[in-house]
Amino acid sequence: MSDAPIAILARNLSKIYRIYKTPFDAMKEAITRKPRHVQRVALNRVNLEVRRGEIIGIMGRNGAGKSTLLKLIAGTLERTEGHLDVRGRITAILELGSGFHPDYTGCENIYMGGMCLGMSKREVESKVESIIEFSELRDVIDQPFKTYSTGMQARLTFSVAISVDPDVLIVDEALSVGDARFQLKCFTRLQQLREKSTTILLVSHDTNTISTLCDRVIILESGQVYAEGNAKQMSMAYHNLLFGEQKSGVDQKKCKTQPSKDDHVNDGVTVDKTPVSEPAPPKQLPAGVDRLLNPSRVGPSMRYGTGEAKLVEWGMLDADGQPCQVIESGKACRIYMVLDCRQDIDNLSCGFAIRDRRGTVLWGVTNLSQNQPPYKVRAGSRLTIAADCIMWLSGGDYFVALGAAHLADGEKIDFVEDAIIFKVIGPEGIFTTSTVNLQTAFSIECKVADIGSTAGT
Amino acid sequence: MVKNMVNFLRVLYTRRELITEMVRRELRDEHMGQTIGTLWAFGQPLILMFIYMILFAYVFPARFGSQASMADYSASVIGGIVPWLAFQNLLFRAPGILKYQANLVKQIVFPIEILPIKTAIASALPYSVALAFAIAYSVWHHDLSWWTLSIPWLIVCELAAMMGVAFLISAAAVFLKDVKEFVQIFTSVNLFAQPILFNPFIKIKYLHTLFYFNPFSYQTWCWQDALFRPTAPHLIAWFIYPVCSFGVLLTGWLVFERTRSSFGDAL
Repeated sequence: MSDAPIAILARNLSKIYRIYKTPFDAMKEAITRKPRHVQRVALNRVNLEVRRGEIIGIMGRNGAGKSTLLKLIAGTLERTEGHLDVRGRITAILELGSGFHPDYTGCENIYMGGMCLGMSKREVESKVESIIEFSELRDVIDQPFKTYSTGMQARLTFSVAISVDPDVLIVDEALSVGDARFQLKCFTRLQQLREKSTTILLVSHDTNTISTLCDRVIILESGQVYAEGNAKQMSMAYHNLLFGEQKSGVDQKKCKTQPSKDDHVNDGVTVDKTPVSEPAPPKQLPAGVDRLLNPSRVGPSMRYGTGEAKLVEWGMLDADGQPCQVIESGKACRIYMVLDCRQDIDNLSCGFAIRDRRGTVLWGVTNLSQNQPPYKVRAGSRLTIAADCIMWLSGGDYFVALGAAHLADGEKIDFVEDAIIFKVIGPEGIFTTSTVNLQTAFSIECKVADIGSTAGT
Repeated sequence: MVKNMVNFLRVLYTRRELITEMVRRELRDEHMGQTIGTLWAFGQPLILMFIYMILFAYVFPARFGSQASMADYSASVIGGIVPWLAFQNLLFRAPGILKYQANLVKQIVFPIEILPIKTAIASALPYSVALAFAIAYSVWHHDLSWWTLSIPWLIVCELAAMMGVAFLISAAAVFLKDVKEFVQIFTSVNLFAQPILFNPFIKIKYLHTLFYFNPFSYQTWCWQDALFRPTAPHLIAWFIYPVCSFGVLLTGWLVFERTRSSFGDAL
């Protein structure tokens, strides 16, 4: 993929929103080009390089600059600084049903929507059948758009947008509205587009969507690239960003007021604000260097938390109580961790989660999900927390995240991603791509009467 | 300047399908859900024409008595009022062109220069029927002349001016909220600031001086010359009108192109 031609190239891309006292100032400025505004930095020196045929996921909290970045790439906003080069026909679904008129029928809106996206009338005509087919709205296609449900509107919008055969497709959250089956269809379609070397930019908060679809993920934070890497690592980093550093809210505010400070972007993903152990030394990187394109530098595990308690030991035991890293599917096992409490904790919540390679959570358990009350501990106590399971996962590599948190605000006390990496040896006779072991007995019964007589003997 | 004109013409050509479709939509949208729908768009100007005809051919002359100086000047009124009503129609719509379609401006990759163009065309189109009426009226009054052949050229000039004004006002309205009110007052005053409703046989001196300062007067004079056999054609208007029209178009296009990058932020 890396030798494919570049589709989007951004260097030091910045967007500064101008806030005017009166709208008249904006006009005066537009004509005279003399500044009359206060600035708000939405995007600060973002570097991005996307090749043709890549699916890039963009994640980040609300207000991190995701939409701004997409709009800049789509060309509906003007960049303030930097260099941006987008090659090919762009289609953007930045909002559901834009260009669609609520009073017109679905069919009329296909024409209008398609033409708004740059197709000729004849082009739309040739595609209208496949658009209706894809949207699965044939029964209601002659009813007004406003009578459609949100999901149906999303389906039509999406169907029109992908029919354009764009070189660059930008999807902002639009996928999250459809039902699961339509989403799956969209995913398949996006994969097909990718094979036709369409570049796809996808914004989502759903780590599962992102890790299912994307080759590469970029996390934005405070208008800067916070981390970049493969989907699984970034899903964790995003999780980390959302839950792992609530204490550091102040730092982020600081970062907004001094956007030029670059120390927020660390080398790789290990972005511990309150490190328990192994703090990753923040490394200052010269601006414009391709630090982004090195997912391999991401550490194997991430650990974060407040440090009120510390995990001292964890592991997986087989049926005989021996530590193991390989387990046969269908066998009993125990996942455990030992927590040393340094302070009193009133409402402890602790547990484990198993993820697959893509970062999808396959299984998880905490004392709360087990309907146990939050745990109270005193300083100095040592807890052994264990989950005894039967390993019904199918063959493959799996990753265990484990840790403890405060129940009230979800603040992590000590949390280790990828703490245990184990391999399951799958049951024989099922697809190697299976995720679960359903303890299958497979049979074929045949009941045709008088097979002998029909053969004429 | 030539480059800008070429750019404009290119947009007009490459987007002709989208423009046609959007004009149709705009005319239909307005009368969506009404019993006779789009007929209103074309019928209303026609009814207005009838009213003007009756007023200026029968009612006013009868009131003032039939003096020689009060000869029937209804053809002159009708010839002058058609282009102005079309223009006025645009002026009412122009401030909302970008504001009410913010989702197109902000949300998708859309050639927004289409919006003022299509609104200009959609404003003028219903008056094609009124124009046909005016031509028929002038045939009936034996007012046709060789000048009538210039009508296609006048239509081009008027559309150019309308598009230019649409570019200017729509862009200004993005930044200035009071453009709409200003335009409304301007349109109601401007009807009387040009030589439409006045008897062309009576020249009031101070009014006439005013007319020369109003660019819309030149448009009126040209159309009146074309539809109402001129005893003394306004030759100067035939020169000034096209120059102004295309000047406005070019200025509007330039201002629009220059400010368009700020639309997304300002809306």
